[in-house]
Parts: sequence; structure tokens; C-alpha cells
Amino acid sequence: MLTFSKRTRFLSKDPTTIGLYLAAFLFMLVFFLWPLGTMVAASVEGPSGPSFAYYVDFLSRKLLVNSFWNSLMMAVISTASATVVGFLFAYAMTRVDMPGKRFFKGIVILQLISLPFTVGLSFIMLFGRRGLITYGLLGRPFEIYGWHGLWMVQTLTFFPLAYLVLVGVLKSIDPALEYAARNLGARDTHVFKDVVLPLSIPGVASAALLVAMNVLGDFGNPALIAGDFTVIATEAYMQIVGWGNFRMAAVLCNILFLPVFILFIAQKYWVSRKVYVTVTGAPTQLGIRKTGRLVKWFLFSFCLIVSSVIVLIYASIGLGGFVRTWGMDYSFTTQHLDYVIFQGIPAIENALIFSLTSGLACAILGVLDAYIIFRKRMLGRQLLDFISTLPAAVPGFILGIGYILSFNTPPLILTATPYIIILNNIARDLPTGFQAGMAGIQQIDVSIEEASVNLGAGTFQTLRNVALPLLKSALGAGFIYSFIKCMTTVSAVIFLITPKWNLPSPIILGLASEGYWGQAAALSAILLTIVVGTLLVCRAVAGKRIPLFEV
Amino acid sequence: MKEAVSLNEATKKFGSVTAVDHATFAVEDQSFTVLLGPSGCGKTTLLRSIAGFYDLDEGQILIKGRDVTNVPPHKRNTGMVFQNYALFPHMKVFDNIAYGLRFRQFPKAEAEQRVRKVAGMLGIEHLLTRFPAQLSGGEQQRVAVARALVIEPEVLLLDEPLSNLDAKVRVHVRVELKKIQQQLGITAIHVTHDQEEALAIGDKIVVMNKGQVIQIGTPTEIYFKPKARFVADFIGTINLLKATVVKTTAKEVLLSVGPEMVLSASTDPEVALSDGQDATLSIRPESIEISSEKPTREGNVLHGEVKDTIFMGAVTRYFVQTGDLELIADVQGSDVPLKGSVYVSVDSSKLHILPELE
Repeated sequence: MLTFSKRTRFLSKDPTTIGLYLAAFLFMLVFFLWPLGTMVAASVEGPSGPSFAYYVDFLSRKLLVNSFWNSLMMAVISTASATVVGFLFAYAMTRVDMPGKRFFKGIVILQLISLPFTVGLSFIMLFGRRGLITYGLLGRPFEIYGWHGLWMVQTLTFFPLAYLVLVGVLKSIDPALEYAARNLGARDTHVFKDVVLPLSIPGVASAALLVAMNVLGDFGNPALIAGDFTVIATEAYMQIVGWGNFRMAAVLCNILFLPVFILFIAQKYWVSRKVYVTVTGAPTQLGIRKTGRLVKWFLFSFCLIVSSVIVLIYASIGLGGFVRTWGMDYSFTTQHLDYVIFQGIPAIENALIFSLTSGLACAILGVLDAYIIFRKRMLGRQLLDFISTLPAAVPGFILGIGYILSFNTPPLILTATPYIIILNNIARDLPTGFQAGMAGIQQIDVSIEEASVNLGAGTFQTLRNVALPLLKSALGAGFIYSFIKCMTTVSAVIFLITPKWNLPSPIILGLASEGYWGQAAALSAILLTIVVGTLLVCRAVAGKRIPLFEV
Repeated sequence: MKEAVSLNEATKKFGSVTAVDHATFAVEDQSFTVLLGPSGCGKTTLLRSIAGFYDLDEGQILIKGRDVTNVPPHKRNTGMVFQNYALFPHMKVFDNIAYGLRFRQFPKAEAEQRVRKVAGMLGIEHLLTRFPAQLSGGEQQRVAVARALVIEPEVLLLDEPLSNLDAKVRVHVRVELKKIQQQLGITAIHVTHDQEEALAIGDKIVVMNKGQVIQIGTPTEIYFKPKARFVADFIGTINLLKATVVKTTAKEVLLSVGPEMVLSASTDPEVALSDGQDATLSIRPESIEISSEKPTREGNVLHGEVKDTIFMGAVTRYFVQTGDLELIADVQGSDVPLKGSVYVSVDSSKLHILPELE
């Protein structure tokens, strides 16, 4: 450990590090911590000093208290189901030799980059009161709205997140361990029960916590499909849009933030430390073991069914843009497309500009942030690490509401400007760039930078000549991931957009909740085409140099 | 003696672990000094502290008389060769070697000339346009050495640079390294855990254990006159015998190693002994001679029995029981190993006394 005086002595000789360090702190302070703080302050502000009147009011309103329990309940059941689906998918992709893996992986990636409420939107079109399948094919009205509908939607929406974590975990379990168990006389079921499962438990916990945070914070799907089953996210929105009651909205945000924060702490500091590092002498080159036929075909059918539903989801969205009135009149029309071209293009242009800007900023800030955190032994680096990863856990609508509360008044008025959207995007997606940067830095041997310093280069020159060139692919990955996220983000920006600075995803959500399926579907299809196209082009151009969704 | 690097009570702690514990010694100018010790002994930490990658908790480091304790690493002008070479993977060999010259404001032409010169010396001119990934381990190692040498460092720091090479290449390269160091007349500090390498390459060896400097000396001193049991044990195979001093004279010391077993050792002026004191006697296996007939020499002859032999190529290793002692002796040649009753003898100059008894 360096003593304080040694650290400061060291700092005074490294202006680059201290500059980057202060800049990173300042940015997160102003554009992340301040909005969160303002929200807490707003919830306890009374006419004469701090007051908990709004919290008392909250407790007295059954509907609101219920929405809190509903949020928790939905998080528990969706997390369980999404984690199971994610695990089965991940196990199938890493441990089973089955056909169609590329297709299944493609489906997962599609879900990961899609609009966050795609499933909700298409479920209404497929299984709603006038749904193509329920009403059209089966001829019976079905009530999709409610907790059961939301549960299915959240499971399909978030299982890819669990999958992403679990694939990493399962890949890191050396197949040699399974051969060893087998060699010692264990049957397949025992190999799974005694080796694979125990080794992946921390990963499963990690995946579950991640899914839970996302379900708690999700706004789009509940807004569309929850019906009378109210959750905190939609209630907070209603408090602002319906009643103009910012203080109650702040109370709701704070109440939801507490469980999310606990999950975040658990994930970052507890579960992630328990992940086993497999200790092996030399890496084995053993392929995956042959799975029993029964297991193989069960998993294959399972993946096929889930993937078929997802294909159906995207088909309905693609189709929905071209039929006159979904549920009533399925004749071909281009009228929705005309609307989209007229109304949606400016919003898409905005989205492109905002996403390019914030994507670039996230990539650069994230990589620099990761660099100073992982390469410089500075006082407070754990704190910076913490506040650089926390935004990923904070539900979008909470930060969105924090932004309107903070930047509506001096000293910094940003409302109704494009900057508020861009800055919000950057603050929210910084963890994406940070993750990419971290992954990149862990690939570079420290001694390569030390060699540069040893030869006479200072921090700035080492960063410019050695570290950044070697982090090119991390920068690329950070940019593409945050670009995609910004293109489809909805819950935070829904509070920040204006008619002039509008964005496609809030427009789609608005259209869908008003029942304009055709227009919503058409605009979704265009947005998805852009996002998928971007990813495909980047993958084709960058090839292996930038690892994108290697799932 | 001119000192290139001096350490004065240098101490480095990591949390509660003291990695380097009050190290004090000087490295002679133009010498090849080896830091030797088992893994975790603090040798690499010490080397990295000299390079400036660690800030000392206590003490001082001087390079060519300049106190560099608080000088950041990029201003110390040390050239380091890393264990994994740490070549910049995105730069060609030429740019790798030229990198350090960028920060020393050399005109382009002169920089290029210097790069070519050092590349010529190391026989890697033909590799200048390649990327590190296209080189073999040995070639990468040369590039790393060239990169460290081209800046004309005050001291060349070598962090186990041979450990990633094949055994055969390693022996060849270490001869070459030493040759280059002598040719250029620069000071080198080399870290290794390989005692054979240390003996072969070092002008001076600094033996370290648990953060402390245990002994500093020439290879022969370290090998034949270990000052501590650790040094004797760590380097090669050695016989360590419990002994009691019987009599000391100006020329020799008589020690009893068992009932009616008295050996005489040459007096070492650095080791003060008094009669009746316990001590440890160290004898290298190759210092022991074995014969079936009683040798003609006087004194230092013990009678024993061969328990086991191992054929080791150049030598045959004998395990001989004499009284309560088991001695290891390496004998060259011997096609047909001796069996049964034998005489072991050792020259009194090859016996070394450690004052400590463990």
C-alpha cells in the first residue's frame, strides 16, 4: 500500500493521470450523481425543511404500494424463468453438439440488440384481444394484459442477458473436468450434478441478479402489456405525465432504487468474487463430450420452440407495418410506411446523430476510465470503478426523472436541448464503454506499458503510442455496443424528448400504447433494420479484429 | 571501485508482506550482477524498484551517484528486458527498437543509425521490418535486448529474460548476453532463480531469501564458501555436517563430526571460531574422493560403505554411510561403480565452515 503522501508525490509527477482522473470524476458527479441526488432531495423536500410527507402519502396509497410489490413479484418470477431459459440455451450452445447453433445464437443476439419492448409490442399483435394467433387463428379472445402476459414477455426479453453471462461461465469450465469425472466412474447425470452445476452456480447467481435489476427497471414492456398490473416504473411515469407530481415520482424512484442498488452491490462485490477460476496445469484441447441423445434432442427442441416464438415476434413486426388494420383488415398497404417516412425520419436522424455522438464519447471515456482505474494506483480508484459501473444498474426512467429535476433550473439548464439527451445517453452507457475498455486492458500485459515507460515515455505518451493503439478493438466494441443501445433506448429519454428533439423508440411506444399497431410496427421495423444492419456491417468490416457478441 | 547502482536500506512492502527488507549493497560499474533466489524472495521486486515501477517504503536508490528514489521510471534511464520481452505488438521490430530514442530527441538519421548498429551487434538486421508476432522466442529476446541497449542506459535490467527459452538456446544466449555486456562495458543487473545460470554469467551474485540479502560474492565464493545454510542449500547439492570445533590454529581448524571422526578445514579469516563451538561443515559432492584402497594422504579420510549409486552422465553419484553420516559424493568417469567398503577423503581447502548451526 502506498501511503497518502507517496500517492500525492507520485501524482504531482503525472499530470495526465490526474487530469483524466479528475475529468472522469467530475463528469460522473455532474451527470450521474447529481441527478440521483436531486431526486433523493426532491422526495424529502417539504415547505419547511426536510419532510417525509410524500413517503407517508405513498404508504397510504394502496395502488402505489401494490405497484411496488408487483415490481418485486415480477422481478422474482421473470428472473427465475429467464435464468432457466438462459441456462438451457447456454448449456446447449457450449456443451451439446446440435444442429442450428448459428441460428440460435443469431436469435439471441437479435434479442440483445432489439428495442427493449419489441416482445411486448408483438405479443399484443400476436396474442392480444385481436391477436393474429389467438383471435385470428384460434378464434378466441385471449387476455394477454396482466401479470402472466408480462411474465412471458419479460422472460423472452431478458433470457438473452442471462445467456450472455452463463455462456461465459460455461465456456470457462474446462471440459477436462467432465472427462475426469467420467473417468472416475460418474454417469452423465452425475457429471452434470457434481461438476457442471456446482461450478456454474456463481455464474447463475450473477446472471439472475443482472436479470432482476433489468426487470425491475424495465419500463416499455409493462407500459404496453401490464394492464391493471401496475409496476413502479409505469406508476412513476403516470405521476409525471398524468399528474405532474414530480415529488411522488421521485419517491417511487427512490423506493425502487433501493432493491436495485442491493442487487447491484450483491452482483458486483459478492457473487462476482465467488466465480471459480478453474486451476489447471496446461490448457486442454479436448472437445466437448458427446451428450446423450435424449438430452440433446430435448435441448434442441427447447431452443427451437423459443427461437420460433422470437422469429414469430419479428415476423409480426415486419408484417404489421404493411397491413391496413392489424386484427381487422390484413390487406396490404404502404400507408404506415408513408407516415413513418413523414414523421419518423427526422426522429431517426436525431437518433443517429445522438447515438453516434454518445457512442463515440462512451467508447473513449470508457476506455480512458478503465485505463486509469486498472493501471494507475490512485486514491479513490475503487470509488471511480463503482460509479462507472453503477449506471448500468440504475433504471433508465430513474435517471431520466433525475435529469429533468436537475437540469431544469440553474446552474445548468439543459432541458429541451439535444445535449440533455446525449449526456444522459453517455452517463447511462458509460458502463458499456467501460466494460469494453476493461476487457481490452486485461488482454494487454502490463509489462508492455512498463516497457514504454522504462524507455522514457510518460503516461500521456504511453497512452498515445502504446495503450490506445492496442485498445483499438476495445474502442470499436465500446462504440458499437453503446451506439446500438442509444438507438433503441426508451425509458430514460422518454422524459427528455421534445417535439423538436424526438426519438423513434418513444414514438413507437406512444403509437403502440394508442393502438396504432401498423405505424408502430413500421417504425420498429425500420429502426431494427438500421440497428441490425449496423451490426452486420461492423462485423463484416471489422471481422475478427473487433469481437462483437461472440456468444 | 566505481558504483553504478547503490541501494541503501531499500525496503518495499506490499500490505503486511515485506518484499524487500532493508537491502543494502552496491553494484560495481561495468559489472554483471545477478540477483539470485527462490521465487518470492524479492529479487524481481528489487529490480522493479530500481527501474522505478515500485516506490520504496524506506531507503534510497542511487544510479551513478544520483538519488533516483523519487524519480519517475521514465526519467531513470534504465533499460529493462522483461521476462516476456514486452515487445510492442503493433510496432515493427525497427520501431520497437527506436521507441526509446523518440523521447531522447535524436535526429531521425542518427536514430536510424543507432538502431541499425545495435541490431547489427545482435544479428537481427534482417528482422527490422517484421512484427514481433512473426519472430521466434530467441529472436524476440534479441529485439528486447536491442531495444533496451539502444538508449544507452545507465544500467541494463534483466528480469529473467532467459526463462522463456529452450534449455539449449538458453545456454547459448547467456554466453552471448555476457559477451555483449563486456563489449559495451555497461552495467547489468540480472534476475534469475536458476543457480547454474547465475554461476555461469555473474561477476557478482546477490543471493536473496525472504526479502533479505543473504550473501554477496563472486560465483566461486558463493559456491564454495556459502556464509549461510540457505545459500549452501539453495545452490547445487551439498553435504552439511553438524560439527564441533575441537581446535583452531592459524592454518587449520579441527572439527569433530562424530565419534572418532575428526576433519580438518583451512582457516577462513572471516569466520571467527572458538574451541568447543558448534558449527556446520559444508562439502560439495564433487570435492569428495572415493577409493577402495586407503588413500595415502594424511587426515580427512573416513571409512564407509556405499549404500547406493546413481549414474548421472558426466558423474556418478555415491551415497556413502560413514558412522552416523550419509555423504553424497560425485565422482567423474567410473564405468564400474565401486561397491561395499570404501574410503572417502576430502582436501581440507574444500571444507567450509558455516558458523551457524541449524
